[in-house]
Amino acid sequence: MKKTLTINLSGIVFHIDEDAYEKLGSYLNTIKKSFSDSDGRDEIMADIEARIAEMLQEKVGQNKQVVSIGDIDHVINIMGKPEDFAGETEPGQEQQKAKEQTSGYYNGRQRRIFRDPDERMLGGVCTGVASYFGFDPLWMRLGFALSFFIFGTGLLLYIILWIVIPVAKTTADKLEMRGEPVNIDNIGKTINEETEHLKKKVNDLKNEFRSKENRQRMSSAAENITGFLTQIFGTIFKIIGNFVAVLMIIIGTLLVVALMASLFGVNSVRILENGQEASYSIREFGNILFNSVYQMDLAFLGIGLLLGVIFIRLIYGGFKILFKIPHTNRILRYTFTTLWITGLLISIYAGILFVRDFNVKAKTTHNVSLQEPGANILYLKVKTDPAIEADADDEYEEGINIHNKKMVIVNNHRCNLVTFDEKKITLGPPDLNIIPGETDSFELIITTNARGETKKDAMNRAKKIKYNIVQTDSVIEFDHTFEIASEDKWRGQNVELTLKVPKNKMIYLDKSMRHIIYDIKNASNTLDEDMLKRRWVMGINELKCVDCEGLDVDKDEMGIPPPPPPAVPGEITIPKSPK
Amino acid sequence: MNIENTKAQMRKGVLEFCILSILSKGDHYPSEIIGKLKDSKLIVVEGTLYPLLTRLKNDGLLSYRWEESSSGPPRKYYKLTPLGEQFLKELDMTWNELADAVAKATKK
Repeated sequence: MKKTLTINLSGIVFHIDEDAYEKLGSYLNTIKKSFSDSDGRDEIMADIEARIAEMLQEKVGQNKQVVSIGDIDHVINIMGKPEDFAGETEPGQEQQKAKEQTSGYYNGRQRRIFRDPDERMLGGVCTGVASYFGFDPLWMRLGFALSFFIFGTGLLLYIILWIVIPVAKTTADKLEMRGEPVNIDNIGKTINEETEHLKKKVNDLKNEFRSKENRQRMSSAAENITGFLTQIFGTIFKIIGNFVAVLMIIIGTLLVVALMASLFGVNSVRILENGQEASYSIREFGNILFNSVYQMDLAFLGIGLLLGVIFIRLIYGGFKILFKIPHTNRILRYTFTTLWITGLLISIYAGILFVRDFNVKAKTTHNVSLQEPGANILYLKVKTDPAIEADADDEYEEGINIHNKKMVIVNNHRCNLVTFDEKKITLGPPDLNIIPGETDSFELIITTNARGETKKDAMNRAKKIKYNIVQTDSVIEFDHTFEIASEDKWRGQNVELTLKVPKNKMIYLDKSMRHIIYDIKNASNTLDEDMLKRRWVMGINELKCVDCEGLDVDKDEMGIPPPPPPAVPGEITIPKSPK
Repeated sequence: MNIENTKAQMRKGVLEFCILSILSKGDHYPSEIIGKLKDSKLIVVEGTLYPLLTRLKNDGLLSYRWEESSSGPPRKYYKLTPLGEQFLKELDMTWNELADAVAKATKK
């Protein structure tokens, strides 16, 4: 069954199949475009149409009422192909016409993109795109072949284009495929034509305003203006649309490449700072987060689908706008939706598996017995990376820095250190609090926290956290970081330190302590960082400052603190106590 | 050098002369002219004739009248104008001179 249309050809009515109509229409149009006004185009066309009507009249009759595509082919055969007409045009135009024919272009209809089934290597994508933009398919193929090696980008683009671009099935399709090439010359030509059109319209408008019946014609003039404006805006939107489309394709491709590189690449996470560099693969990061490779793959698959589908959709949309393809392939739309939802479900499942491991919290505490220092004062410092401490006088820049291949995340003036390899993860710093002690001696309580799916898991992890302090006489050196075995994964492990200071005994906070002290209660409500390089004595409930003369603490004004006592390990000179 | 192209050029040169000659023997409509031209292999497809006829008419060499047709739309019957007849005479002379010249030049 076929749909038919009714046409009037030279005053005679024909019923014609839809495909035959398409073909006849494009045939007549092509011929029309090969003549100029001065050739007497309208008359020639009328003659040709009359002859075609005559021939079709012979074809149809009582038994055969509808003109089929075969009849049109017959007519075209007799009348000749559009390029044959060029032989009879003026000599001046001849060369140009001949040139156009040798390059295989038909005049007339605007070119549309199709995959070329006759010239294909794989799907005819390269030929199609190349003939759309009017260059040699070889370059296109070469370009695609090379881009296959950039994380398979070329392959991806090729497949998308294969799906987006329809195949040229009918002769009309093939004619349109070889229509006027979309290139600079043509754009210039279109603009020229539009300018001519504009001039003509403006003249028409002038005449209409001058004419006596201008009042009646005002409305039609207004229509002309609106029509013209619509045309201009249409052109502008077309240009913007193409620009956006190209942008969409480029951004989409970059995002897909970035996604692929980060999921499968080796040194994809690269952090650069002051010429120092640390690079990890995202799988190395994944190793410290996910319980098993299976869980990690699942999560990556989920995220890959979730984002990948969106990025590919972006590229697809760009091509659709660029090549003016009106509708989305239905199968493709379902595929996109299905893949995306699958990605979402996998992500949720992987997320649940992951979060489940943070279900229960457990902690261990143990007391470290400290030697009583002479002179009732304990010097506290942090054993930290010299590179970090070297510029400790400067304000750290908030964010991620690299020091000696360690990742240093600076947050709130504290340096959080993260390093990891196959065996261990080191994290830091622990939090130190200083509270009054119940006994006459200094005590240190180390609390380790961890999370797990069960209480037992969490407890195991908490027990395996390694943290060290070293006491040398009256100096305690805290480690900046604690260690977790890599197989334990990162499950919210942290270390809390509580130093119990007996009443009337003193401590001194070294500059390096800035990294671990956390919200220490004191009589003068001094901020943590201002407590450094000073001695503090334990009162009834809280610490009191010893070296704070000249610092008007009551009014919260920060004066210039007195020069701090030297804090070189082993060479500590105990400052003279006040009074 | 494309031999087909050269042949087409030669045919094209005499095509106008042939059309005028055919019309000098009586009025014809395009399909009849094509029939005669096809017999002598001067023309392959019909489409090329229409622009040519229109040009000759616009140059004042031909005129036409409409005639009803039993099978299809009305037909255009072309005939030579006096100017066309004059033109044909000149072409005839030129052709004879040319034929002699070519015969002499190509004689072995």
